[in-house]
Amino acid sequence: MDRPPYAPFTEYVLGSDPFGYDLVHLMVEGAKWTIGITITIVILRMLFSIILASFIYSLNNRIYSCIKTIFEPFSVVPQTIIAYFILFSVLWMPLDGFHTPFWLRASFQVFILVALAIPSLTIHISGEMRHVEKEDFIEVSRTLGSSKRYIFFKHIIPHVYEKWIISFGQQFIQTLQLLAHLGFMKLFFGGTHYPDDDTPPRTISYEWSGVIGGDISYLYSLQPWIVLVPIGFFIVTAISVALINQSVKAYFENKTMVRLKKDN
Amino acid sequence: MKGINMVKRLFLLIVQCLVGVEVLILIAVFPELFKNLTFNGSPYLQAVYDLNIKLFTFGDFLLWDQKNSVFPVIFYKYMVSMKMLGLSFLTACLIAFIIAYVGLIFFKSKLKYIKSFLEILESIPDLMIILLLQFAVIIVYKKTGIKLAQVVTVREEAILLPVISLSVPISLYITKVLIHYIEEELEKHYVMLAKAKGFTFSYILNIHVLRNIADGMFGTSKMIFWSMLSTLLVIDYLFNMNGLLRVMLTAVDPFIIGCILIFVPFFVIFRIYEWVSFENRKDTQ
Repeated sequence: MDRPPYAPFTEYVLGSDPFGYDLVHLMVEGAKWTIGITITIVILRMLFSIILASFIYSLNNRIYSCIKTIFEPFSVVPQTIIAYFILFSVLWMPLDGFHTPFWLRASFQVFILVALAIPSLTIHISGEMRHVEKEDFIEVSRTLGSSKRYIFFKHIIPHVYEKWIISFGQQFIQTLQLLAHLGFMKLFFGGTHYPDDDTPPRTISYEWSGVIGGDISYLYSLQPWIVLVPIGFFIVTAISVALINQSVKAYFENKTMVRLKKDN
Repeated sequence: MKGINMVKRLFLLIVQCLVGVEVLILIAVFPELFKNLTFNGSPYLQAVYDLNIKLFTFGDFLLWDQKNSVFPVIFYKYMVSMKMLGLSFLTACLIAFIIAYVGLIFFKSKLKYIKSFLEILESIPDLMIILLLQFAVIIVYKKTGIKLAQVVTVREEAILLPVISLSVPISLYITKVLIHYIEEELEKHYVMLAKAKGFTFSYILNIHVLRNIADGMFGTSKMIFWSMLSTLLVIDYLFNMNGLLRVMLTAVDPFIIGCILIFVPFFVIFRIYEWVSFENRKDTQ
């Protein structure tokens, strides 16, 4: 008699996990969390940072550098450490089970992962806006009597929105990395199921990084595919985003070239 | 005049450091604010106040077992982690320079492909690269019996594999930036002049270009340091090492001390560097 875990290409295409579940099904189950949550986090990060940046970009130098100083610790102490430290008390299961519902834990995690990136992202985005604001045509426009709001919407946004789209992709990759680190340290998305010291921690949502973190010890055993399959899915996702980012960048560069040619 | 300026700057630096430490305290006590996912405003403020008092009167900082003091222990761990970081940074620079030089000197026409390949590799989460590296070492050991490196620290210290794991993901980024800067520099007119005078390409690259990009490269070192630290945490866990970052996550006291140990020295270094480079630029103008 055969018993799980099944090797790839025997019972199932990509094999099964130690409980006999098909890994393809597990990956499909987790995909909605990994990809969906990452996109949600990145959209919220970009949205809040852009709103904040549009308020602080026009402040004078002294106040701006004050804000920069306050946000400084976030760009020196890594996100992973702060996120782990804050999320541990919420996501790690107490000995008598969770007292909080899943959606509350999940949204708390999303909130923390969004909030941690906002300081440095705001500085980055508002820095770009300040850079555009120093250009000559802004000065001309101001002399001709345009209001601050008009300058923002008509002159600054058209110059920076391409950079926003590119940093969207970069943030996506950064968030994936953050999720991978948290999963590796046994903080899985939506909570870690940890009944006692003998059973290894398990993920509740089957988010990919959670599957990797929970089954990491199989990497050294005779059944390495249990970990290698989610790792493969993770890598493929990251590479796809990188390729999308590259094409977008190439498109923008191409557009600028065409515009410059037309002008001449 | 210069002396007053110096004192003013020093004062400003100390104030900025204190602000940073205060922000770190606010973060360290943050779990108190959402304990059991309810909003506890006043216990949070109380905890912030307590931690402030403790920090500025040098109170007793205890490890997670609530018995032993943090202090002599955390410095050893700090030294271990910093040694690791420095060693890996040098290795990463070495790898980056080798790739960039080989690319620039031998494959100049294919540089575009090398760059986009590096960009794709760089997007892979560092943890995955490390796990695959470890897996490769195990496979080689199983197939041939050759132990390439100690995988997990048991009694003898594993040094080779942690350093490689820490330096490989970041070296991709350094290579990308290095190639970008060098290419930008090669467009400039003085390189043309040097070429016209008959200097060899490698001479121009080593003597002139490298000196001129050093400033720009240092500007990216903050980002490099930041992402290396987060990788270091993973490596601490994976290789079962006694690093600083691992002990930081056990309780509030080690966390705040560790954060300060990381934040203050690097903040001071970056600020002083900013002043120095600013002064230099003023001189040349």
